[in-house]
Order: sequence, then C-alpha cells, then structure tokens
Amino acid sequence: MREFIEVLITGFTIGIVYFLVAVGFTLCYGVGRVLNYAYGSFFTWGAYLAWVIAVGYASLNYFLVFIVVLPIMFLMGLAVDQVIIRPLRSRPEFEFSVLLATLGLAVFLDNLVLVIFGPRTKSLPAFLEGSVKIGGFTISWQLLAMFAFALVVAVVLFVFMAKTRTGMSMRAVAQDPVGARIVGIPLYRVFAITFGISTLLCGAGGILLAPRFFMTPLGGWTFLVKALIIVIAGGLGSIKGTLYASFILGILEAIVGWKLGLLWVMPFWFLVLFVILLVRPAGLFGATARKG
Amino acid sequence: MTAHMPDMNDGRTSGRRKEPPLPGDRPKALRLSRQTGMVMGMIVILALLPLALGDSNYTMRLLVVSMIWGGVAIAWDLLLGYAGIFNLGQIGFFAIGAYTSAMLSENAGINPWWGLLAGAATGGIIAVLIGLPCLRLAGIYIALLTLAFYEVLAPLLTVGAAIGTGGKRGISPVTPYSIGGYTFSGSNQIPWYYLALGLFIVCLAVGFFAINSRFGTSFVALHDSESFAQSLGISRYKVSLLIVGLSGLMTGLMGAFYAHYTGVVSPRVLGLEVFIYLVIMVLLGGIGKFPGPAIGAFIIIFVNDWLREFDRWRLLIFGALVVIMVMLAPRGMMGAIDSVQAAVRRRRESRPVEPGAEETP
Repeated sequence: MREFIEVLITGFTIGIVYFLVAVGFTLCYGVGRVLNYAYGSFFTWGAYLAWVIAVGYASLNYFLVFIVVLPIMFLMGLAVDQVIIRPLRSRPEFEFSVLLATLGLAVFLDNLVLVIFGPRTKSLPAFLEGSVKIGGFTISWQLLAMFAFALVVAVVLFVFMAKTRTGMSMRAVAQDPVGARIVGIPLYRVFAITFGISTLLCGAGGILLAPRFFMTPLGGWTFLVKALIIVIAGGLGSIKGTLYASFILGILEAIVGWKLGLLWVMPFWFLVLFVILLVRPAGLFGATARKG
Repeated sequence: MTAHMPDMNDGRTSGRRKEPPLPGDRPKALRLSRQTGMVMGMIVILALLPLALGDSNYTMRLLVVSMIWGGVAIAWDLLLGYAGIFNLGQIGFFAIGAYTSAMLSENAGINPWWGLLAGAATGGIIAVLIGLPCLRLAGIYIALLTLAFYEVLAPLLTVGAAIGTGGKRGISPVTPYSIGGYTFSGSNQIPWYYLALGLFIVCLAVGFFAINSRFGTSFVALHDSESFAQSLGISRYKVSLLIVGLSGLMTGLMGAFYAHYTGVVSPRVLGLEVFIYLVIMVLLGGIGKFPGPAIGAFIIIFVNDWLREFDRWRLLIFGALVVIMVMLAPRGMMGAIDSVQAAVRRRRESRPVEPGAEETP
C-alpha cells in the first residue's frame, strides 16, 4: 500500500510535467491552428542545451540552466514561426503544409543534434540528491524539485493567460480570430508569441524529464506522441482537458511502469485513448472533432 | 479554450482558393493522355532496362527498391493528394504486410507466394479498421491518430514476441520465393526485378483506375462542392473507406514483397528514416500528381545512394529539403512542370494578334 502511494506521487509529478509539454502543443493549435510535428525535437533540444550547460561544456548550476535555456527555446520558437509557419499562412491547405514542413524540420533538428553530439545517449544528473521522509513516505528530493518547478511554471502560465494583455489576446484569438482582429489585436504577433511560449514549455519539459529518461537524438519522438495522445484524449485546443488527461495518463504510466514495465506504457495509453474516444469522440473537453 | 473550425477566412488559414481556369487549359482528355503516356513510358523503360544494364546487380537492386517504394508512394498519394486524407500511418500498413508474410512463411511454413496475398489482405483490412473510426473525424484528427498508430506499432511489435514477431530483432532470415524448383537469390537480380516490376505495374494500374474512374471523379466532385456531390448520392465516408482499403492493400502487397526480398523484417522498417524518405519521394514527385510520386521514389533512392558518403548529413539534408520543398514547390516536380506549361500557354494567349491575320475579308 505504501509503495502504491509512492507510485501515485511519482505519477502525479510526471503528470504535471506532461501537462507542461502537452499544453504547449495544444496552445499552438488552439490559437494558431498549427500542429507542430517538430515539437518532439524542441524537447530534445531543450534537454541537450541543458546538458551542454550543466555537464558538457560549462558545469553551471541547475538554476542557471533554466535561466539560459528557456529564453533560447523561446527565440527558437519565434524564429521558426517567422521563417517557416508565417509564409505558409496564405496557403489553401495551410494545416497540411505546416504538418509536412514541421515534419521536415523535426528530421532536420534531430539530425543536427546527431551531427553535433553524436549518437551516444547522454544523461543529465539529478538536480538534487537524497530523499526526504514525509509522513512515512519516502520521496526523493529530485521528484519534489521536479514537482515544484513544474507547478511554478504551470501557475505562471495560468496567471499569464488570465491576467496579462498578451495572454488575454491569445485567448481572444483562440475564440474568434476575426473578432480579435477587429478590436485591433495584431494576429501575427500573437501567433509568434504563442509559438515561442509553446517551444519554451516543451524545452522546460525536456529539461525536467531528461534526468529521468536517457537522452538520444531521436528521443523526442516519444514525447511528441505522448503529447499527441494527451492532447487528443483531452480534446484538441482545450487547456482544461489537457490538464485532466495529463494526470490520468501520468498516473497510469507510473502504475503500469511499476507493475508491468515501461515497455507496456504506450500500449496502455493507447487503450485509454481508445476508450475515451469511444465515449467522447472529441476527447474529454473537446468541442467537436466530427466534421461539420 | 476550445477548438472550433470556422469556415470563413479568419486570417489563420485563408479559405480554399480555386484558381480560375486558364483560357488555354487543355481539355481533360488530353491531360489524361499525358498521364497514360507517362505510365506506359515508365513500364516500357523499366521492362527494357535490364537489357541495357547487363549484369549490374547493384543498379538492379536499387531499381527493385525504387519500385517497392514507388508503389507505396502511389498508394499514399491516393490518400494525400486525391482523397484529402492526411494519413501518416502508411508505413504501418507496409510493416503489417511485411510481418504478415514473413510470419506466415517462417512460423507457419506457408509458401511465400501466398504471403503476397495475405500481406495485401491484412494491409487492406488493418487500413479499413483504422479508417472506420478515423474517417468520421475532421482531417487534422486523422493526422494525429494515424501518426500515433504509426508510432505505437514499433513498441507493439517488440512486445509481441509472444505471437511470433521476433521482438526487437524481428524475423530473419525470411525465405525467398521459389518457382518450379528455382529459388530466387541475391546473386541473380533478374527474377526479383521482374517480380517487382509486376507488382509495381499492379500498383500503377490500381492508382490509374482509381483516379480516372467514376470512383476517382467522386473525389473531385466532393472537393468542388461537397453538398452537391452528396445530393447526387456520393457518400464521402464510403468512398474514403474504399480508397483507404485500396491504399492499404497496395502498401501491404509491397511490404510482403519487401520482407522476402531483403530477407529480414524488424521494427526498424518503422524508423523515422524510412518515413521521411517516403515523405520526400511524394513531395518531390508532386502530391496529387500521379504518377509523379513514383518517379520521386526512383530519384530519391538513387540520390540517396549517391549521397552515401555523407552518411550522417544525409537525413539533415533531406529534412531541410522537405521544408524547402513545402515552402517553395508544394506540388513538386510535376507541379513545376504544370506551372511552366501554364505560363507558356498564357504567354501565347496574350501575344498580340498579327495585324490582318484575322480580318481577311
């Protein structure tokens, strides 16, 4: 029983990190209608940049890793949006063109990692060593730090979306782009900022999860698929749905990994996705996935 | 914040724009004959090529691989370019065809020739099973779900060692075909080559008839005016399901052949590398420009071989190429040819009429 609760705590923590990763993906679609298939590669880049700073070339403090890497991720996102996504917006098949372009970008970015860092797996050491006993449960400091940091980012994101002008314009564009444009919201700037925030969140997820999983140049694809499943299960474009789905699937991952081994995680995720889609074809909180 | 898809032009995506027909646009019958010409030309060249190559096993091998992927590229393009179904799981059907045939011949001892049929059948059936729920959803959900299917297949095949998939290492060796006491082998590519050509012709024929029959026309009708097409009794769901099945069938067939040709199937077929090669073949040839994608397959296989010494840089180059192609030449080679032709025609149309030429009394 005690072990079970510890597994639940781990699942909850993984869940909140997955939420960060998945919410960036869903935001990008909800606001800008961009399905970013290079998302997994941004995850990889976040992890590798953290490795460069913390282990590879300059062994800096972990705290500095976030301060240095996150702005870089944001700028990368802005650049991709301006150079690749924006020119495609005038296309009749915008969504499909973006899908193919980001797929190519993903392969490019992954192989850039491969060329620079080589194919060998890398690992980030844990942020913190040791563990703490709370009410009879043993929890590692690492897990607590992960949880705390993810929680801070999630809260900052919610406050940002609710209170700041930029956050409000993002929500406005998501609800009604035409209306947003009429009241003077600069659409293209909002799209660019959204893309930047989404890559930033993805990079944050990469840094947080890198100590848990090994890093390989192609490792990001797993997380793209995980983000996809979470986002579909929660309802594409819905932040609330993403939150619930992340926790359900994060806890499921911890339990399945504990009982059956990590290899079974993806089949189980699929099973849950399948069941959710049978009951609600648009996901938990999706508006409508059926066509008109 | 919920997703909704307004039909109007909202700045995120501009509405579907249709190009007005050019004054000198060729009538449909002539267009069709260019397609026929290209298909016929390809078949004739491929049938005669071994005579010119003599016994260059290496080039023959590249050609066989090109034909395998050419068939898959045509099958995929039927969905992407003609039916407008964003299926990203095509390689999944290929792997399923390959595994079916290999497992039947290695685990059950069934003659590999039957594996061709079985691989095609399972490819088609799985495609329809995936299509049943997916095709009820909006296009972008199809892309998400089929990519998820593709990504989860490799772990499933690894876990599935219990039912004979061979786990991570896959199945190897896979028995080659044999006919009347003669067994195909790597040292003589001629039998493989003509078998591959036969299957490739099957794919070309299926693609050609799917596009030019009443069945293919219904997609044009649905694209031009969905509600009018439906009032004529065309059900998008039914025709989509049919074409998904057909595409899965062709892909499974090529997969089955691939398993026996290379003598090994493993989850590596589902690697990203293979997927991106397929993407760039179709893009280069031209999405929705049959038989462009098949020609794209030949070009990519040969260019890839030519770039062999760059090894690590190859995929980097191909990835960048996909981005550049999408941005600058979204309709690929065939699309470029089309627009050059259109420009030439427009020029001819706008040339001033020579004085006196028309006003002869």
